[in-house]
Amino acid sequence: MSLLEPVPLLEVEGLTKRFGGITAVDGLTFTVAEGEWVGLIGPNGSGKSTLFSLLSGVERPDGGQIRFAGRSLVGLPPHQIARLGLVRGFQIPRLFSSMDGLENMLVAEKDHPGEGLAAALAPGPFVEAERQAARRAAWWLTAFGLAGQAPLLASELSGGQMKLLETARALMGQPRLLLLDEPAAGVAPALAQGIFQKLRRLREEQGITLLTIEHRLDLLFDHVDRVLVLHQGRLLADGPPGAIAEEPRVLEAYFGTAHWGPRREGAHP
Amino acid sequence: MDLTPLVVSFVTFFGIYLILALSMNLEYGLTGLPNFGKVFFYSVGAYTSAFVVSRLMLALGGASLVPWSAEAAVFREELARSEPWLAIGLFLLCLVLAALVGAALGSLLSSPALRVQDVYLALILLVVAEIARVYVRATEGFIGGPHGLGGIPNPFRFIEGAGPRGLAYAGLVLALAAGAYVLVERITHSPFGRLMKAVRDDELAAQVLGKRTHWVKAQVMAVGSALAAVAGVLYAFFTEFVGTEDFDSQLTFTVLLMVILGGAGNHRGVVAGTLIMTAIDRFTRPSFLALLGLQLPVDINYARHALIGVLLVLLILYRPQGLAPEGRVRTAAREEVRHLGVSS
Amino acid sequence: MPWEELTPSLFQGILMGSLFVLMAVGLTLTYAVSRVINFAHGELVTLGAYAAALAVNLSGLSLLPALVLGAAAGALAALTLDELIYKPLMARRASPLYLLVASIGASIILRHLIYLAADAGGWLNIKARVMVDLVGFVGYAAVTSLHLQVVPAALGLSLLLHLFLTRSRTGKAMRALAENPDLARASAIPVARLRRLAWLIAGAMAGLGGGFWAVYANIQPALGALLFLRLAAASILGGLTNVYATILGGYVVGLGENVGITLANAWAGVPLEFRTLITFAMVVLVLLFRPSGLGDLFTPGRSRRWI
Ligand SMILES: Nc1ncnc2c1ncn2[C@@H]1O[C@H](COP(=O)(O)OP(=O)(O)O)[C@@H](O)[C@H]1O
Ligand SMILES: [Mg+2]
Repeated sequence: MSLLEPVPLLEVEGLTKRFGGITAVDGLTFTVAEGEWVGLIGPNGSGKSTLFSLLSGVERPDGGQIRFAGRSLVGLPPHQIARLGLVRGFQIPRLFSSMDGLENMLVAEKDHPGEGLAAALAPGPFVEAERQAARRAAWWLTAFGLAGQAPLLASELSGGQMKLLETARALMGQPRLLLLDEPAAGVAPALAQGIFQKLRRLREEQGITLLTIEHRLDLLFDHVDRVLVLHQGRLLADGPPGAIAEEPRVLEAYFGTAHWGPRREGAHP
Repeated sequence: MDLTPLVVSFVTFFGIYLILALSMNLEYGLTGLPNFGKVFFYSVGAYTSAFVVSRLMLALGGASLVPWSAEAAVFREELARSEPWLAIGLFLLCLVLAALVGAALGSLLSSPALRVQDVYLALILLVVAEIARVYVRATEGFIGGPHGLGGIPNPFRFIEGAGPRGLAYAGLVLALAAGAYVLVERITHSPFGRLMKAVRDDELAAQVLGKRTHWVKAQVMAVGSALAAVAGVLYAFFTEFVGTEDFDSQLTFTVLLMVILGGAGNHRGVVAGTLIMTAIDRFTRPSFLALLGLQLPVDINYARHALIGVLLVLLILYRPQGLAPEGRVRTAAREEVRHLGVSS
Repeated sequence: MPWEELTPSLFQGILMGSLFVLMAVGLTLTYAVSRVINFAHGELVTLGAYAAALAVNLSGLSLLPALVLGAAAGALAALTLDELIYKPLMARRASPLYLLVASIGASIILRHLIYLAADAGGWLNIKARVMVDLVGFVGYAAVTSLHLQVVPAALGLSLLLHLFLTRSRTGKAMRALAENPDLARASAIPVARLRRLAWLIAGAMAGLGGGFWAVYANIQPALGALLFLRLAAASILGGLTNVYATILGGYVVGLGENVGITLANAWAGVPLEFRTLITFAMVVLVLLFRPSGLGDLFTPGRSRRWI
């Protein structure tokens, strides 16, 4: 892979999704290169989360193509897409609420050989795999400052901790492309910066490709290579953060004004 | 007063109900699958026993009788008394066959049904149980239609005296129930058990983490249905008679009550729930009250059912978690990262 | 098969279909307004049947007041169920499955209380002593006064319900509540009052259907339980939420169990005992492949229709 000509890991072409009368995603075309960190922004209801659902196989597109690492994803069930290395987090965390932090992490272990019914009856040969998974889970929990929360049920966590656990759990699934839907929402500002630092380090160390939705543009623009702007399901702009920040059409669509200003609290839940 | 029949019926029914309740706990309690067709899979075991035993014994004994006739029933009982190994062998054969048929039906029937919401799944399985009952009842050539089929000889027919024979059988049933308990505990406290709970808590989240949740559910239904069918075999060889009346959906809900009472997800709680419900079930029979010389102004059978309904509603209203809380999945992972304080 | 031979099952199918409509519409209404699949709905029918039959047999009431009494019994029981069980559960945000289990429990309680009472009174198997007059014949089918009462009652009340839901302010508000409960709660709609009204209507129609049944055939405490899956079938054919599709569903079930089985018996030798299997098979297929029911037949291209 040459730096000048990055291989597209994800290619989206003409992707469309309608809900009744609304076209939530409308002929989207873009690519994400291997190792790239792309930010995804757009006003509320512009189709960002729906795009994630289409990519992860949770929703079926009404038209268009998705290619991931050279394979078409359209029509594949979510679990197969995840095993190809495309893992997503949800905007509102979907944790296993009656299970503790450790268990939540362990479920995400990729291709766990001991996860079958037969292994439940004769666990002997698989104990080491389980121990290894536990060590990895502990590592991620510690990395996200959740080590102390490992024994707590997911339903007992604070909103911010739930969000962190959701992200940690997605990472436990060994993604090649990680889709995060507002990973810093509900997290204290200082911690939010920490999450993005962590993601940056991860990308440098493990070469993970990232596509991240985030409303705190200052935070996002500090880290990503490129920004996609969605508006009413369409791609409004695609470029490096510096250029996007200057783009008048983006400002118009995003804020309804032609200049940056402080975002009203609660405008984008 | 000879208490043996009472002990025998109590212990035997406790064992049979326990197997049913544990299978329901695996499905409903841990995986979130409301198998409201439980009584169908139970009946599968009983029908398999009736069908196989009635035909095979007549064939082996060289008798050409109508399988569901009274003469055939007597013939089989005589044969079982004189040929103990044959009776025991047939019983074991039925256990294995029923488990296989149950597992196959459980996973097959549910493979389309597992894709729908839980409430729809509950309704579908409930109706399937009803369909099977109507069908078997109307089909004489299977197990005698409306008359049912008797002469499914207890494997211990060779033991003289109903008391000792009953005790031996009760012991066997209890041993099998203990085996079922070990089995479901193993499944629960394993990575697979963890996955079951994940499917229950949030199936979509498990899917986007790469888990084939339909397959997990199909496997759980297979194990649960095999267990229920085994319970059905034990029932058939206990009463030595199988008819369609015994497989009313009311039993499904009694078993569900055992699970909810004990605490869905907790097998030990379910043992307690089953014990309590078996006591209510057995000690409110007219025969038991007659033994005590009690005379009630109302029909105790109706009162018992009403009580079951009241318990179900009160539990759902005031204590949906039941007697015992669920607890964590215990695997090797907990000791490995004990420093996180997770080894509870 | 000549058409005359089919007329008895056709008329029987229309009668049964009409009774199913009367009984099932309420099941749909309560599901739409409160999202409970009320398993105890069958027992509302039983209560109505017993109230009407006992009124006629013991108090010598004539049919009309007896039917009113049956409807009142059903309505009262329906309201009690909702206030005592479903409402408190929903206030605790119980899952749909828990509500289902609670309603199964409620059905078991009611049924066996009826058993206890009927056993004590010696009414385990009774019939309302009302004369049913033969009006005439169509083909080989005897048409009785019962046909002339039940069919117009079912259709007339359905029409009334339709007018209520589409024309009156209260009815429109009820539909809004069914469509979007959260929105309704946030707006000025009197949710609690509408909900009570829906349960009263549902119970009354079920009780009325039961009253007619007591004239038509012998009744027993398990009557409602035996009918329930067929009523649920009619309602499920309507996606559980659509009154019009439920009316269609009631006749589909009634005709299927009579005309359908007669034809299947004549042509393919299907035993008559398999009557209910036609209905049950329909339920399973609809739940599996079209859980939104047949409702979208009435509103093509639109999303699910609520009452
Ligand atoms: N499951 C759904 N059913 C109907 N409409 C939906 C569904 N999911 C999203 N939408 C609609 O699609 C549009 C895009 O929503 P979404 O992707 O959540 O936007 P964003 O994440 O950018 O805020 C919105 O108008 C939303 O109401
Ligand atoms: Mg969103």
